[in-house]
Amino acid sequence: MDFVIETDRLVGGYGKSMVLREVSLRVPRASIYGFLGPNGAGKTTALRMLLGLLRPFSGEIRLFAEPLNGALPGILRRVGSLIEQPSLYDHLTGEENLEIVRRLKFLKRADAGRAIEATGVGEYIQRPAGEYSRGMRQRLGVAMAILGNPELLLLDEPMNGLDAGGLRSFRSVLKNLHQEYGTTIVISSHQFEEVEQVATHIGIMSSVGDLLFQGPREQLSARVPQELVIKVDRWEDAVKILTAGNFKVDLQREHIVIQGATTEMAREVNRLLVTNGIDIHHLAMDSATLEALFVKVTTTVKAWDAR
Amino acid sequence: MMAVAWALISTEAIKLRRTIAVWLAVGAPALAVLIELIAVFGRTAPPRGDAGAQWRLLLQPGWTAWFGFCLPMFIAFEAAYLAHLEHSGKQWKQLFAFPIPRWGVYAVKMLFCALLAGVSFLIAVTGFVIDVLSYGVVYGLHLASVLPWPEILATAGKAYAASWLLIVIQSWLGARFTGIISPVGIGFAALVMGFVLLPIGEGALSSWYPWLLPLRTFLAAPGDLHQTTLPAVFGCTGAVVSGAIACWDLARRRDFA
Repeated sequence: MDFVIETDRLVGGYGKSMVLREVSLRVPRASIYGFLGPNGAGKTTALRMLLGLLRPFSGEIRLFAEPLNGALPGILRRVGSLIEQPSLYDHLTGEENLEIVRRLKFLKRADAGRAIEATGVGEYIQRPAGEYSRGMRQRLGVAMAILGNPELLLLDEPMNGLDAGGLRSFRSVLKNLHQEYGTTIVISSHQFEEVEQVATHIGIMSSVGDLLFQGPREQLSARVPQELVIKVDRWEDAVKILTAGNFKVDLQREHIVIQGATTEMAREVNRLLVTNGIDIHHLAMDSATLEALFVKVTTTVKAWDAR
Repeated sequence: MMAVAWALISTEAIKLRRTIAVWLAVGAPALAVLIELIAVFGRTAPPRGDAGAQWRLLLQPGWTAWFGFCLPMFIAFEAAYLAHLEHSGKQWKQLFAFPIPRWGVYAVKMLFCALLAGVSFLIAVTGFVIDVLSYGVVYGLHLASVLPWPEILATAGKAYAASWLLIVIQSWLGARFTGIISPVGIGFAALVMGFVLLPIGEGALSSWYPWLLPLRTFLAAPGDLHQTTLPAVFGCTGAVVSGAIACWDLARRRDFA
């Protein structure tokens, strides 16, 4: 597979405190990689290292298959970023802030116009950035990051401070970049419901800096045991069939529930019931939201599983 | 390379819009011009000698105030302020995520500090000349006809060149410390130390002390080319060498909050 970001056993932190522990990221080209973890898990630290802002204690980083150390600063032409809060010159207008970024990224004037339009910052772009609300600053930060449609976009908590309209337009910007330009996007966040709507791949960090899981979104659902909830026409027969098939079933009201199910198991249950002439009204994996999966992964998966 | 240099220079110019950086470059020499005006008009009698000697004597308070105090303090404030533009909004992390060499970011800061110091020199020189000419008009001295431009420009030019080392040192301090107080405080303390060293005379430390270099170009006898030029050459050479070391030192750091 073609990876835009590859790290090998990346260890790092600040001073003597270790924040990341042997993290090996693999971010496929043209993916939207939701980088999840509790506060202090090392997400920001990892993103800083990817930009060369922080030196790792050990391990290697490759961007676009090139070792980062040898490729700086030229490789940053292909990267857009927003790390934590946007860094704005408060005495300058939004337009002047954007102009600084445009010049330092060697882009055309038209690129700035496109970023303004895409993020909807045009209505206040002439005002000094010092007068902006948190959401307005965040939007301008996103505009600065996407300027010039970079091949790789690193966004650290980009949804912070955005209202419902801002979130909607942010999602549409990301989807547009992803679909039109094949941009690879890494979003670190703790807002699971937002990440869930856009991410194609997920990386989950533990609170102590281990990478617990990474892979396609569906793989996460398949890997984490969940509840399989089934509703059928003849439940007594269905229970007998499933028990004979070595499934451990519970009855909850009119539902049959199989604890610790995976998507593989769901397929098997479906096949078994259908071949035995049972009509299925409902068959679904429960608690498959990203947040629920995240909780299950962080409580059940050991770091070495992901390595 | 030219594209990178232009990007860095033009963005630095944008950053200075609506800041006090330019006002500092006007205000600091204005203070020296005011001191010169007070000193000249406070004289009990017009200076004796030929017009050249009169000019030299009348300009002396202005040069001393400018080279000895106003200029070093202006450089300390200006360098710290230019660096503060990046410290205040945590800009370094964003700047260094752009495809530009880090040393270039620091070098351009030093360049702009030197440019603004150049502007302040022009204002100071113009102000001093106007002060002296006004004095000549009031006291009936024919100073305008013998205006010694070459000597005035040489004095200012040498002091300006000598101040470059100071510009580099203060810019280095400004980039290293996140607040304005520390680099300005160090600059002020170093200047006071210079006043202590000054009476020592021709000792090695006193002669090559960066905060005294501009003043050294002026204190020697006007005809003593060696004594007036050497501090300027030392200031320039020192600026190039220490500038390279400063850029290397600052650029190698990789821990930006």
